[in-house]
Amino acid sequence: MYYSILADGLWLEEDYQDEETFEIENNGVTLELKSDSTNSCEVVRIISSNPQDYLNSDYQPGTKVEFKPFISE
Amino acid sequence: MNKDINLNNQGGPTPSLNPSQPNQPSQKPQKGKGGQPNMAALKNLKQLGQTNNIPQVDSDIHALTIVGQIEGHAVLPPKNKTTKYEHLIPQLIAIEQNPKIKGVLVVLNTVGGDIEAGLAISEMLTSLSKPTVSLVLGGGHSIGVPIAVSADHSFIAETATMIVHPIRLTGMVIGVPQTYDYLDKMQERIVRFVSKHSNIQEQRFKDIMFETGELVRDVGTVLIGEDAVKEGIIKEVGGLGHAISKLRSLIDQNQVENGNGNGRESAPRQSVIQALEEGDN
Repeated sequence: MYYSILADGLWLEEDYQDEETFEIENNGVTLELKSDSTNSCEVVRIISSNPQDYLNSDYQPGTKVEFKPFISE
Repeated sequence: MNKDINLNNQGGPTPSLNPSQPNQPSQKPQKGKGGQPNMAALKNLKQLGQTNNIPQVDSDIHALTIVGQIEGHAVLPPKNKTTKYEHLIPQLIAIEQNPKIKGVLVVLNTVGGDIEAGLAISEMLTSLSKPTVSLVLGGGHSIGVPIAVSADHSFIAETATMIVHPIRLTGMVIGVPQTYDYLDKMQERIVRFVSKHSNIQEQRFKDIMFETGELVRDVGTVLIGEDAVKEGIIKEVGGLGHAISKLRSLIDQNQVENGNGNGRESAPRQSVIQALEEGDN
């Protein structure tokens, strides 16, 4: 049940296409990432209660995150 | 994407956080050895307009930003900016357990959202043993009201607004008396919580909730800055500076009451200043 000032149903409509985002954890900081190619992603959002994490330039929105592929044994 | 990527960062390859172009061959940026320029900082400056030299200091005040919709049991479509309770609740547990964290600042700019999630966050905040201060910026509407009052002290920016209105039903309405009873009970949870944790009386809160003539096509009241303080919902009108200094004084008070010596944050700093002054002499 919702208690919100937004008009009913307006925000529940799914007519908007957006890239899927997913979360990873890095050094205790949760980052929301958006995939932009097969092996790299972009930081969309930082999820942390520590305000200092928002000053960390590695976590700034727009920063590229590379995934290094490997063959699992 | 490689399915073998370990997202929990334990063993195996980890996502490497370096600000390089996706199509460039992966190479480790040089960290300014032997007079070389700091490549990571340069890349950051080039791509994001930022430098890498922000000093990292440990903060004993943690901040929770509650923005957009408060998402509860259902995932909202991606066009909504949401605050998820599965993010906030573990953060609050971590804050409660971490001795280095002395206080919490809650910044609200929300349009409301899920009642259960909003009340869960409010209950977690109010039962936190560490000092909490809330600051309403922009808007703290609907379910944002109980969250704002759940802190030990609350501030509202002069231009911020809070809209208090009755709970509405969405979707198909079953026209039986029980529907109204259920709605009334849900509303009662919010009214009781707000009146218990602020200076507004239950009846007065209900009165402003069902006010007509305030909102164009709705029942309810808009409280702008000072109005929320006059009604007794929020304690003070103020901004970030006021909120942080109030939180600092609550932290000091908390440490004195808990018997940690004088426990004041300023005590070690004072001794450092004294030592430096003696060094100068």
